Amino acid sequence: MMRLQYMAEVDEDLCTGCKLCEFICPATAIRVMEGTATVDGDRCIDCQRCIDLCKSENAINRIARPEEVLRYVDVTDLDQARIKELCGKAGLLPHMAICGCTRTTAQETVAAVLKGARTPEELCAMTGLRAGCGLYCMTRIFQVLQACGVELENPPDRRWIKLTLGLADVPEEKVLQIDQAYPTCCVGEDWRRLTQRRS
Amino acid sequence: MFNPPVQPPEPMESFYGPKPKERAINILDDIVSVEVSDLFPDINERIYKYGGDLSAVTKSTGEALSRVDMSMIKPGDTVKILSSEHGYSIMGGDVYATMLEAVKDNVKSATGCKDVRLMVGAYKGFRESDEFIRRYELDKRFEGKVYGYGPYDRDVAIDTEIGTIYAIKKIFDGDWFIHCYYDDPREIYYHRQIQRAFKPFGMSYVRFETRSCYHMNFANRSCNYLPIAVFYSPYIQQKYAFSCVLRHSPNGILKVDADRDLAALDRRIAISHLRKYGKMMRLFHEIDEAIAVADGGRWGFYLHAGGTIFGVFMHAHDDLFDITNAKVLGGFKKNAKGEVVPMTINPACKVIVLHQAWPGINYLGLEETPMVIAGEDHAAMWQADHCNPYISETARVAPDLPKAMEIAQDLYRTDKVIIFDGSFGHINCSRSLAEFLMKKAPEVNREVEEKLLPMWLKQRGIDPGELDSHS
Repeated sequence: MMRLQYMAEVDEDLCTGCKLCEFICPATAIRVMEGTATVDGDRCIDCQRCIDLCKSENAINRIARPEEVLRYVDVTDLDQARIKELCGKAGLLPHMAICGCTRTTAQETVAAVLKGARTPEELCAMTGLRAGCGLYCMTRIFQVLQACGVELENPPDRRWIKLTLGLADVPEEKVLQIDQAYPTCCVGEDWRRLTQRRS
Repeated sequence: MFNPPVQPPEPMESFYGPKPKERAINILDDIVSVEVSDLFPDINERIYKYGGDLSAVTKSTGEALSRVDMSMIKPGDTVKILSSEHGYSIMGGDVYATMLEAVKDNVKSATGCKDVRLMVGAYKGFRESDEFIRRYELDKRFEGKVYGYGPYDRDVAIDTEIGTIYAIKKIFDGDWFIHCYYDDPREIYYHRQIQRAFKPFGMSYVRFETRSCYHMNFANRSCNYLPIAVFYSPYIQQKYAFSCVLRHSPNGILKVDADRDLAALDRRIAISHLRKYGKMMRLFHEIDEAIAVADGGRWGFYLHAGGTIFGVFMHAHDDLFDITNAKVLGGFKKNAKGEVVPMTINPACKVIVLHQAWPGINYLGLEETPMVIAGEDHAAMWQADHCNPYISETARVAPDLPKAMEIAQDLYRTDKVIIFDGSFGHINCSRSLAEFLMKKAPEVNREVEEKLLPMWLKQRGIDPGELDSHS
């Protein structure tokens, strides 16, 4: 659950319409229309990445929302067995936080997809994922969407690239080879634990 | 018996952190410094410590590079020197910048190559590289051939033994690159001193999606294979010239080391670190109670005391070098009730006082430890930080450091205070903690030399006989 007291706001006098903010926004909350960026407060998750990237013009500021909003997807009104199954398919435990920053759980992320999210951006806007560091949860977002049957095509501007490479995907034969060459990495032991979780 | 506290490296003013304030050692009473070499007399070598003569680093770089074959680099080639973010925060950063400049000068003079470019890496912020370039006058030092890079930059797909990953295109699109690293072990709780010198190939040199896979889709020890797979990929190998590493001990900079064989270099690093950092880590393990003060110009987890970061202190309840300890999967583990919780945090750290430290990075598990933030402006930065929503909800706020320490003492009464302020070579701490550390160090030394070091070496297939030549 994310509590949001702030959001981004564009200073129209300073904005040049360069679209860098569009590229970096994890929730497609900011769009350039008629040469000026506009923020959709219903989607903004206050990650402040647009503010950071707008370093030449400094045209984006952080402003207080009129009242605090929550970004949270309720899981209780959904089929719990289905959620558990989809989490397992994604290689995740339902109560496991898939993001160290926001602590959004796997089951909430799955619930967001079951309630309509079809892209990483929609998932972020609904749950607040990527409001923190924005880096390390990315593969888990892809894993959940994939497990729920959502097909993703990489956007042409490469704002993200679908990547779910994980140890559990490495064939057993290769794992044995790695284990022999680099025993300190304990690849075999970890592989067995991760594949067990998936099954 | 103890020396007065030593002035720590000056924090860099930054968009990402609070405005630099008076240092904790100048505010708190009864702070002393205890020398690393007094704690462990065998950890006494160094060529540089903050405030020392940087020409020793230039000289050591020249000596190391004189033994490296650079014949693959031709005068008309483009060479990229890859630097990573944390290097610029070691002892104020000048020492890393000095090594980087010396690499450029040596490559130019040895090969006749004119196009040698410095690539300045960032954790995630879009202004980090610009700040480093300004602070260390890198534009001037590299004749304008300086470029920032970060995890959102344009990608290049790299096929590895275990699948395709995405790296940063612009750092690898020259004819050659030089892996210019530092061996400050930093996050031992993540890398476990397993193939440490390869880590940037799974982290700073790659896109954020690949970084995510490194941290999330592999486990605590096996994640160290991902950078190896990237490094030995045909794409990387065809552009790899050699590696040059700023070598550390808790006492300061040992030397500059260079080699085309990164595995050999990594082995030398491991041998040295297991002994030296093993002792510091186990000394931290002995601390039974303390208030920790974070006081520096970077992310709090990465601030040093005795050349060892705060994050290691927060995990010092575990033997981080023992690779039979699986420790964690993705930063979380199941507790006794079967709940998935953040990896456990050292219970000996009774209170954390943030005097000055950057938010912007997740301090996993720290919400379990009481925290006091000094300064309203500083606290506001933490409250704005969604990397640590739990901390901002639970931390107490004090107007200044003395008041923060009063609150900390109310939360847990102890006279043992340790300050993480970027120091190598010594620990700035309260007199009582200095006395405690001096008392404990001999038995830690014995435990490491007689019991733990042989085990750590054996686990890594290292013959104890190699210790003499590399540590």
